Amino acid sequence: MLNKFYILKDKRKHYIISLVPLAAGVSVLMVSLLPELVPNLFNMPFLPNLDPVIGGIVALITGTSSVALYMYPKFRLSNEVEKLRLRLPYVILKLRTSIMAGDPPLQAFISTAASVNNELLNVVVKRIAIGEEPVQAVEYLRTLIGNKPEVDVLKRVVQYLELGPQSERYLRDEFEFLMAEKGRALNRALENLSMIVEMYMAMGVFAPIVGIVMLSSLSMLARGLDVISLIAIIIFVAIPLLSMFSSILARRIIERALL
Amino acid sequence: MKLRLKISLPKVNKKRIRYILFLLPLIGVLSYVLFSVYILHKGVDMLDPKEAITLTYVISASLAPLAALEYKWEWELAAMESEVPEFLSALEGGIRGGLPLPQALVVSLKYVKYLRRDLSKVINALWAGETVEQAVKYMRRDSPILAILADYVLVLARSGEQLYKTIRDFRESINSVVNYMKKLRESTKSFLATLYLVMFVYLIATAVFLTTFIYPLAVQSTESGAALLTPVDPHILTTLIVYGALIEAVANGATASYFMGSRYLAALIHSVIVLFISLAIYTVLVYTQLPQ
Repeated sequence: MLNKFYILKDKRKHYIISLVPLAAGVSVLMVSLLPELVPNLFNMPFLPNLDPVIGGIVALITGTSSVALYMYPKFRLSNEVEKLRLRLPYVILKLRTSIMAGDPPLQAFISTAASVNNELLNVVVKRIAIGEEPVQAVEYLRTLIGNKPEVDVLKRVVQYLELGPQSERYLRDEFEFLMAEKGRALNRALENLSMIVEMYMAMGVFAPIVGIVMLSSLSMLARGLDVISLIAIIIFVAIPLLSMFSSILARRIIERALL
Repeated sequence: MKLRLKISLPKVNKKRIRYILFLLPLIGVLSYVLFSVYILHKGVDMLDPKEAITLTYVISASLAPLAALEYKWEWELAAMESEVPEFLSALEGGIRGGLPLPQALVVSLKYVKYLRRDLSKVINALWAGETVEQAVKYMRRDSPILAILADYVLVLARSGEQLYKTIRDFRESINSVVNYMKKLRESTKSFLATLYLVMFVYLIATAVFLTTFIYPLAVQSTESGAALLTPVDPHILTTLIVYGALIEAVANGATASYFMGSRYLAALIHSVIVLFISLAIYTVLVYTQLPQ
């Protein structure tokens, strides 16, 4: 069901393809190392004369690409779980209002889940659509993504659906529970963000200023030291990179508290 | 209350506007380069401080529309979200008073300001004979709260006898969500102060460093031929510091936006304002203090 996360929608093919860059990198490294390791044994003029350092860099880059490709489905899955966690209060609120308006609970769940655009909810909806019991469909999701708290919430929600119109009372409690959880997540996020702000101020702003001042002073004392290029690296590379790093961290943290 | 029966399509394609505005700095720089080369016939020296300041002004000015619009959109969204509980209370009052849904919607319009535009379109559409499902399409769905409000208007129309019960329960739940979002916005506001702090620290530190150290040293070494200290080229250093201010502003604007929980660059306007202040000070420095 989650095959679309894999290349060619096939787990085995995905893992084989993800090894290709590594194999290519190792081959390049071997070609670059052979003349060094066995200088007299091999005399193969058709082999390109590669610097082992370049071979090593190529192997490193291709190895990293292989690891990234191998891990890609796991990143996608973790992203979908995160999205589900974010959308759960919304799902429950919408589901509850639909049930209160008189929609059949299961129908309300399917239409709500379909409106959220989440792969994991889509899996549950598809299993229900082919005739599986909602609880079984959620259990199937558990086998795919493991024992996550979001699956427990989903299971409770679909169990409430079996209670018919009475389910909205339980969904209300579930919603309040999730909002309380969100409140706690917000407090935790704010604590972490304060720490990241301090780090960002120290590394992204004060450190570059100190760097510019120190490098300029050093260049005055040490004749011939070219600091302009170093200052340019600080301004054009270090500041954007550190800001990007802080932004990504901040986003990851604050997203857990967003609705 | 008199309502116009003209129903305009409400969707401003924000995504497309964002893409266009993101390209503005690039267009600005290209236009400046073309203007310098073909109209002024002088070329562009990126390492000249005066040129760097002009270029940074061009980039800042072209960033300003994006920053202003992002701020306006975020502010409007927050204002609309905060009006939702009040709107629901008014709607509940109207329905309990025995008014049908369209009439209750009209009455509740008096209690909202920012939601009024979308709701007026819904009411106009209902009066024009559209179904609730069609009319609800005129409501914005820019945030989860607004999306669920739009869904809820649909639910209300189908609620029948359950109307009172659903509206009360929904209002209580939406209250907790709106309060949560308010708390989130209030708690993360302090991170905006960080943006101002770091930008002013950069400005003051670099301005003091240039005027008290780099410029005087450059003048002394050329006047007296003092060879004990080798001065750094003040022109190139000033240029780099000006570009640094621009990069700091954009980076801080983006970072502060994420720190504040915004999905877009809502805090960019603050950094653009500080950038203009910084540029004004650097302009004074370059034209009055920088040794020629």
